[in-house]
Amino acid sequence: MITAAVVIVCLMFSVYMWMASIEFGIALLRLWPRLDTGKLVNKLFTPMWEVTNVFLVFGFTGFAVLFNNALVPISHAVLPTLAVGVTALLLRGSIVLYLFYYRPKEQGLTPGNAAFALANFLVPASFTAVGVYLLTGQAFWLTASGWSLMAMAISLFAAMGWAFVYLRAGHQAGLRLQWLARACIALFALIGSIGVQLVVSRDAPHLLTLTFSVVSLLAAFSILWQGALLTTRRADHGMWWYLSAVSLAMPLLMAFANRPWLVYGQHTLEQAYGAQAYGMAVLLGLGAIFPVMAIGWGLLAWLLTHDKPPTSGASGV
Amino acid sequence: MGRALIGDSLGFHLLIVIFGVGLPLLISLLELYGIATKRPRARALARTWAKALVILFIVGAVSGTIISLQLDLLWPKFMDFIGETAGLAFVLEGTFFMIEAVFLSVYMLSWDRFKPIWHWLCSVPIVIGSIGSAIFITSANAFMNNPQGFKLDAQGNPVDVNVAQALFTEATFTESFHSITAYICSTALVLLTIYVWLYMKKRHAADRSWMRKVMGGLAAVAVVFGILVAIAGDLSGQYLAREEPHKLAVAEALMETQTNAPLIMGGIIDGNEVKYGIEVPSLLSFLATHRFDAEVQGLDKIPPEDRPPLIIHYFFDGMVVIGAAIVVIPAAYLALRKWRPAWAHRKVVLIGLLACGPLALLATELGWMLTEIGRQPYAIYGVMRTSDAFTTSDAVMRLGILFPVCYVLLLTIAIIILRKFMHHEGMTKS
Repeated sequence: MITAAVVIVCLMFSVYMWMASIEFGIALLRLWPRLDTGKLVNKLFTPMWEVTNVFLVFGFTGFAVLFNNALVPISHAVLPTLAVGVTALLLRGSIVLYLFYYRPKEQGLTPGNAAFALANFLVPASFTAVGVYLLTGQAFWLTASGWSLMAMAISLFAAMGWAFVYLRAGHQAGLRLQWLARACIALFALIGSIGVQLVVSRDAPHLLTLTFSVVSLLAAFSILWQGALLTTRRADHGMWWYLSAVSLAMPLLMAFANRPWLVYGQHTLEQAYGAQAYGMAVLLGLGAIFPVMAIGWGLLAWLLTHDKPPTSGASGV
Repeated sequence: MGRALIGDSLGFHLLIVIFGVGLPLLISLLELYGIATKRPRARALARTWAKALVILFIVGAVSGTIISLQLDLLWPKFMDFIGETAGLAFVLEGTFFMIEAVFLSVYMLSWDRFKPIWHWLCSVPIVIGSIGSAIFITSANAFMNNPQGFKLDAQGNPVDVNVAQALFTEATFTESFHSITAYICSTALVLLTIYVWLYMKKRHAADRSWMRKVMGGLAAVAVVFGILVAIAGDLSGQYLAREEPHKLAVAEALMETQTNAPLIMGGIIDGNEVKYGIEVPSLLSFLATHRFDAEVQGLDKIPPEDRPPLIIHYFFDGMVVIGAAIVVIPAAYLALRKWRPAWAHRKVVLIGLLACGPLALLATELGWMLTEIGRQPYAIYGVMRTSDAFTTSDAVMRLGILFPVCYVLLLTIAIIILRKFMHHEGMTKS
């Protein structure tokens, strides 16, 4: 039951971070229009991205109700960090509405676009900092392993953002965008495969488990794949899906690497788990979301990828 | 500071939730009406309202996220307790919200691409999602007001938890019924206010005939749901008398337990009593129990340290008076349309209708302030005091200053965008 709880909570955060990274890439394109030769921003930027916050809510609420025994000390410790993210989240709502309805086509280094990009960075960064706290038992700025784990997560986040707009756009993307995406992927690969291992082995050896090694291997493989693509001069959408899979798996792998701890050195998973009476119901409920979402998203994907029929007066499926 | 922070957030979020629950149902009914009667204008109007719903939905998604994070960060002891007992309510609320969100996207993208009846079917999950999420978040609040389904051990921790009993109490039914009907009534009245305002503008003279139909429809919806709110309010009053007598005593400023308890309307709070109020003998006993001679518990049975602030007497009176007015005014409008059509659209009537929208929002806010402040000094009644539930972190002061500013900014931008939407999208387009 505890393992299932960990899996479900991590998956919720994974989905949120995945979607947040896409929105970060869109925000960066608004800042640097020279990269946006395909005019992707006009197609991709929509305030409906705010709905992705619900995965953040699921993850946080799931964490709070399932591991409630440790909620008081954890909330006390992470409040300063999360206060930044929560404020950025609230401001981002205003910024999105303003940009979408008043400045939808505005690109370049304007205050609105800069604030949008900053907010899209601060929110996931603050939640990543909470994750690092759980892994090390301390604020990330206090240890070298905290910094290296943050660097790994942020480089993956940035890589995902650029890779989405480059690799999904395909031939429409400019050359600069392609190389930026590749550079971020390479940075993630280096930090994830070598850098973080070196630091963690000195600073947080408890993380050096098999699952942590898998993380490093996944990071290393990304640069091998990218190198192969470069030599063949192909833009491969498979790279995007690979990075997506890595980012979705990352929180779970890190959580497993941290076992049996929920917060290293302070609270074990077993001590923190409190939802004895209805844990299964919560997990079933959260798990049941996905089939329902699949139906909805399936319909949505169909609508987004199929052109409208000509207006002949007849419409319908 | 904690009460202020969560009060800011909930007060703001409630304004959006009202439309998040009311608009999907009205849009769905309007579209179905358009399909059934083959009136493309009705479908076009539903489409216009749906675009406004998207704007409000986005704002609501942001504020709802903030509230859930606030609860976990600022009220950890509260969430610790809820996590053991009724935490499933929060999870289910989020689930229904997600269903609503995904199908709202499908609904908006498929207007010209699905057959009308299939498109209307996409609105059904939106309605189910909005009402479902409202019910479950209300069930969490009901648990706070009347916690059930568990026992406390020697350390005050919940044991022998029965989740179903915790989630589905009598308070869940009365609160959900009362609040959801109020949201729908309020939404209809705000839309009515908008159309009355547009009707009164000379530049929309050509659309007046069509607007009168819309106004009539909205007034009818408001009256129907207003009556349901009144019925729900009666049920709530009886429930409060049985299960939460302290809240009723404070709301009615009843100092002493007595039979033939009078209803005190208005007045001025002076210390621990209400002066100059209008007393109607035995009416409180009747409203609480449907018997004039029934005993109603007064504040004398509640220790002073457990009494909510007497100010909620104003909230209760305000909610009831406004609630009555905003049903009577549209009902009078409909009656005039039927029997005195020449008077129905005179300025004095239109001004009355114009006031109904903002008053409805105010009444809903007063109702929630009544139920939340009426539970003080407890976060979970009889189990956990509000002062014990709050975090001890010092970082909360920064949030206390920032959050109200951010909410004002978000609300301002939302209102500006909605006004721009009204002008450019054309709430008057047929």
